[in-house]
Amino acid sequence: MEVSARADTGPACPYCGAPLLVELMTAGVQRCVACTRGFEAVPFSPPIVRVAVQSVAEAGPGGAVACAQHPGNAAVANCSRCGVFMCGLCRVHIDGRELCPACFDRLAAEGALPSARSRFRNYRGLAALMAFGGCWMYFLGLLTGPVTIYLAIQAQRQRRRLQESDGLVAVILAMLLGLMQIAGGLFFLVSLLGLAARLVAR
Amino acid sequence: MTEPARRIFLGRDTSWAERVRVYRTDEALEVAYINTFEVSLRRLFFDEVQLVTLHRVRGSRTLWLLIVLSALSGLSALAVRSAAGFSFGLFTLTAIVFAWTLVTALIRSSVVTAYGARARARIRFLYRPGKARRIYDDLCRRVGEAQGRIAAEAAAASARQLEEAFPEPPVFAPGTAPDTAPASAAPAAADPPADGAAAPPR
Repeated sequence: MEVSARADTGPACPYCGAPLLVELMTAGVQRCVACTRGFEAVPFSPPIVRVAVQSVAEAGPGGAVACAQHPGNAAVANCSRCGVFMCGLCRVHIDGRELCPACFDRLAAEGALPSARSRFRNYRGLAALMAFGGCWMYFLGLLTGPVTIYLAIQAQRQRRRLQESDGLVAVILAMLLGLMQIAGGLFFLVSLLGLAARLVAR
Repeated sequence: MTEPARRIFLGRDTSWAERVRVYRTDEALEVAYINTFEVSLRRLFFDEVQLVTLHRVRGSRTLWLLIVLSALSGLSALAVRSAAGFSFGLFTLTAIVFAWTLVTALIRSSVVTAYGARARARIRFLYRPGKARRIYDDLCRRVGEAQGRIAAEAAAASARQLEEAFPEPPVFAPGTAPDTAPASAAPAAADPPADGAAAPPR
């Protein structure tokens, strides 16, 4: 399992990063004790969600089946992938499926759960890089142009898949620059062929 | 398989080290850490936000960068002052960079930050303090609604559990309680006489 290097450890002063005690704060203008600078803030107290789990003893001998991971807890569902019995603590509801933790880990690692994906290829950035980098090497436009257009199409597909509200201008710009690279590459090729023809004619 | 929620682009927080884009979905803020090849997402759910802040700050690093750039442009203009046209172009560039530096030094950017226990979302608005204020208010409203909804659901669930554990005693109308009504009068009171039948004596 990959562990993120960004360890955000709760509320802090937006200026100096000193930790803040949210319990003592009220909504409005605050002043950091460490750097004495003021800022607006609204504190919240996130509710603690407790999962109600029925024990096998409460359900009675014929009332419930034990969870595969927690023998004392009554099972409330089956895993839709492997069929194992699971209690309310183990049940993972994602993308319309009920999964046990092991199946969730496996499917998330395989990238089969769209909602659990947190890493994507940066097609938009790659398209922009190829679009602007390719313009400096217009003599390679016949190579870089199609690659730029391919990356721009992938970026547009990713935009649609992730339902993003921005980035359309960048994608269109990358496509136009890709077409310009192809035109530049063709121009360079035609010029090269013309030069070669003139040399041969001499 | 459910579609992912629509992601509304809120803003970005670009520093020298990393580029960050922040999106809003129906239930969370999504922070996209972008490098050239990959986008890494982290979600900050509205129901786990502990603090939302709004503060204003001057971009000192950008300021230094622009000062260095304008100094380099000015020195270049001095170095090539023998070529009048080129020197004028560089001088114009210096003036533009210097004006931009001045504007950036005068304007303070507005920064909206949402802190959770495990994640943080920061959005920087350089030229649009009004939009920063709108997003700050909208964020506070959404967080309040999400946490209020969960708290209400939890309160309703606990009330239901209490009702199941301690059911209310049955309420009887006066004179109909099983221990006060005479056994012989009960059927007559319950079944009124049909039409044509003899009325009970008064």
